[in-house]
Amino acid sequence: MNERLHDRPLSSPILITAIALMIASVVPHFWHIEISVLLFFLAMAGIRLSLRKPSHARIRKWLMLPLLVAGILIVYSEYRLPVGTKPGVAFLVTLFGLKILEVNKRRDIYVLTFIAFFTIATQFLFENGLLFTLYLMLVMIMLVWLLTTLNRSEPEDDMLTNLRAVAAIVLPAIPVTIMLFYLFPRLASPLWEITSHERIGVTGLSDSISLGTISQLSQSGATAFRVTFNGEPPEQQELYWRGPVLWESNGRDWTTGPLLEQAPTGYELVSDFIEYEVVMEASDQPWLFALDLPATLPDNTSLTRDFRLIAEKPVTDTLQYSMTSSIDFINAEFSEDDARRALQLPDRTTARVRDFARQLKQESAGHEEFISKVLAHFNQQPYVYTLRPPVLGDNPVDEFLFETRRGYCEHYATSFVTLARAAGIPARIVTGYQGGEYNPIGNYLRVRQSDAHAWAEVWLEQSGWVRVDPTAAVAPERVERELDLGAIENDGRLTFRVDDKGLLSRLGSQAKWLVDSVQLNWQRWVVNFDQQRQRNLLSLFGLDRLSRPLLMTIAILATTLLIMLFTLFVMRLNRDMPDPATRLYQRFSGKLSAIGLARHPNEGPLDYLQRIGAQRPDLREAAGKIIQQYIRIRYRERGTKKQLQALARSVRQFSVR
Amino acid sequence: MTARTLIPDLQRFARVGHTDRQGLITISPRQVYILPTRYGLLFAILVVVILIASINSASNLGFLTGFFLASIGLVSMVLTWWNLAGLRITPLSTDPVFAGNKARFMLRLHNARKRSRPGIAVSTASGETAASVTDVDASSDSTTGVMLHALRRGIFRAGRIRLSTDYPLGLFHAWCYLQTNQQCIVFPSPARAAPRLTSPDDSGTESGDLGRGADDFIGHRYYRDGDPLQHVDWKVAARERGLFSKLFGGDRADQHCLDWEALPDVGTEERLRLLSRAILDASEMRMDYSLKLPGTEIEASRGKRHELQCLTALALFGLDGNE
Repeated sequence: MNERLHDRPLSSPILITAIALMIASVVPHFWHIEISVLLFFLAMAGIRLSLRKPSHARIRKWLMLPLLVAGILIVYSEYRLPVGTKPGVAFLVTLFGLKILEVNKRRDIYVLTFIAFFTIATQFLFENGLLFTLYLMLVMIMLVWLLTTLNRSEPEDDMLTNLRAVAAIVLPAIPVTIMLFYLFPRLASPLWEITSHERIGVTGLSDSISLGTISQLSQSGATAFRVTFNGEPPEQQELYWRGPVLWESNGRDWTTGPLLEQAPTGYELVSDFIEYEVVMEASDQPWLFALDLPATLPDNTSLTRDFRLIAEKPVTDTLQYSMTSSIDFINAEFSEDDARRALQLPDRTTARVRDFARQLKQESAGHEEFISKVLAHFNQQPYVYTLRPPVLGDNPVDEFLFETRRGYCEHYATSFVTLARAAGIPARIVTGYQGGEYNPIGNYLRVRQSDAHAWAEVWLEQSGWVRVDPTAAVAPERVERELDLGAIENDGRLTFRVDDKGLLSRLGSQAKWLVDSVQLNWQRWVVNFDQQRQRNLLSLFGLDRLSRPLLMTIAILATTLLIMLFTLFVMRLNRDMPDPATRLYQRFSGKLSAIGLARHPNEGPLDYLQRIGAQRPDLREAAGKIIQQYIRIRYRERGTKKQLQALARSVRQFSVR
Repeated sequence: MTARTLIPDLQRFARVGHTDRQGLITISPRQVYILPTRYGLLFAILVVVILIASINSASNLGFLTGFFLASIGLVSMVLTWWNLAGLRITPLSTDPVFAGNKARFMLRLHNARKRSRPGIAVSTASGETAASVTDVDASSDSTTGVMLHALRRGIFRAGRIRLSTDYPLGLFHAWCYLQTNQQCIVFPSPARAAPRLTSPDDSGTESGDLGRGADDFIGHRYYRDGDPLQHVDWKVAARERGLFSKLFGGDRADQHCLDWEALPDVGTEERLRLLSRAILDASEMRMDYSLKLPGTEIEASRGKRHELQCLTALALFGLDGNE
């Protein structure tokens, strides 16, 4: 260990840079821990910066204890319990601050840097965005740079040029990192459970709706999930991402009722399968979204009788799953229990609604015709599709159908199902998402919270459960085009986005797609890279049946191999070449060694010339010329090409004979 | 099991770089040893902790952090080794010193690479002195060395020199040994007081005294810087003939013989120290002097070269060339 180097006191530029980097590694915790802890940390860093003169070092000794107590008190007052991620991180940041206070010599920077690396790792417990990660990677690279300066004799000389040396470390480390990342075996479950799990509120669909829930969601442009299709994506009109199925209602709120645990039976798939992969954002709910009828199930999920895909645990992190679905299918099975639930009519359903349903039913020949009549009603009567429907009272269906006639998808769906049930047609509400924005750059579909939708399914003798989207009846464009939230005018009337976009806005959406596509790949290949993905990736190389220890061995061997390759590369790249002048001089000496006049070690050129002259006066002139040329190149100035060529000529012509 | 604790044990078997015909030592890649430092071990623990935490929280970015750090560590291992490998060293000649002073064994480090080699530390293999650290820039030379206390007069051999580096990250310590064959002549440290030399060879002058002293006026010369002001001939100056200094001759021999035999028998080393002092004094007074040692005699002369010759004779007195 270069004791002496590490015992050197820190110079101001290094100290300031170091503390700035420490702050940079902690600052993103602003969004994760209480501000008072962060302020404590910043105060410590500030105190240390103000104590630059060595004469002040004495003060720090008696400051330490009270400050430590203060720091612990702050953490305690903010969190009480010392367990859990946030209090742990808060405590780490507090100690980090106190450690900064102690920095004095170069060696102290090591411990600080290591704590900074660890702090950066803790940042990823809270966030995993691409830009966030890039920022922290940059901080890590700068910390590496800080370490290199500690092992130089004169690091202050050229702090910026030293950055090039960092590239020499970081660039070769990148392939090794990537390889380790993808080869290191992933576990399906954690080593031990962390009991306390704090999460911030997540927006998304819930398993019940009361009027207004979905229109609230539609304000959110947040991504719900992204989908990549294997093959042609289906038409927009077919993209109904099914979520919770709502059976039960009290007339105001609709809920799923008891979960239908058992798997569906007695159905027949009509269309081809659609294969796709979903990367879903955290929803804190257990259900996953799929197109119509899932034909295959992802790991740790089950399918209920009403075709809902349920995960074992709530989705608290981004989740990735592969699916196969069939859009067209016939579901013939219909139990008595299903019938009872699908026909349940809320007690508060008014006579007006029941009468209207009865009247329509009498006018129609069968169930299909009844459905068309209801849809025609929505279409022909002045129903308005609006995000700001008037507030409804205790009997929303009644009020909507006969008074306000302004509503959002949930109004239409609940009204339609109520009417159908009143007419004796089994019906249920399905919530989920409809459509999505296709990203042609990343070749995937992005479904946002604003695509949240509610529609109905009715049971018909011949075809089983059939989807009916009453909202489409009033505004068919809703199904074909994305709703442009910005285009909604003050009166709440819906207008649709026109297609003739300018070049600028086309470029704008290209950029938007590109950014979103990068984000998807980031999610898919880094943040959500799991055991399943690892298996898929390895199977590309025919390595899919590897046990975990074997995979581990391969990872270690591959790392060793890469490091060896790097070593060879370094040896080749930096092979030492004596400069050309020295090589020519060595050749000259080699010629003389034939007559026993090799240059002695440590013999200067002029001494050498004297010795040559003494023994072989005949060679003095030729040797003198060469040595003059050599000295001029080697010791006076860096030789020009011309001078080198002249020296080469002289040496070539030189002969001891 | 860090580098520090193992080094003494390994030294016996160590590979050592030797000088070639050109007087150059080239550190071959195989001569470089490398072990983690205690920071390296701490760093390894840090990486393991981060990885275990990442497994547990299934945090892929935690993995990324851990693997990135691990890779950085591995790459830095190669670079630490490579910071020394291929370095060329010319051991420089050593200036003689008096016993009790520090001998400086200087090395010129040649970096033929297009990358700098920062943080190269030089010390003795036994490590009794603190290393001095230097940065060798790309395609250039840098001079560095070790300073060792020369305790006894004679020939002081440098022994094994140790070059080491922790660059770039201080996680690994690479080092190598050099046999530079440097040696330094150590003169006996001069005694505090000059001896009274009573040699039969001391003779008075016959042709007047050309030495300078303070007793008898022997003539004038033009004033030179450094002449004492009281010697300026102010009378001449007053007559505006210019500034002259008065020269005085001393009543003493113009030749001193520094003779071993003339010294009281106070032990060999003490006698050598007395002679060392006498030589220095005589040189300072710009006198001619000869040196007589048992078995060695150096003709009377003066000047730096003569002084060096005499002191070297003292340094090597009684030593059989090979120590």
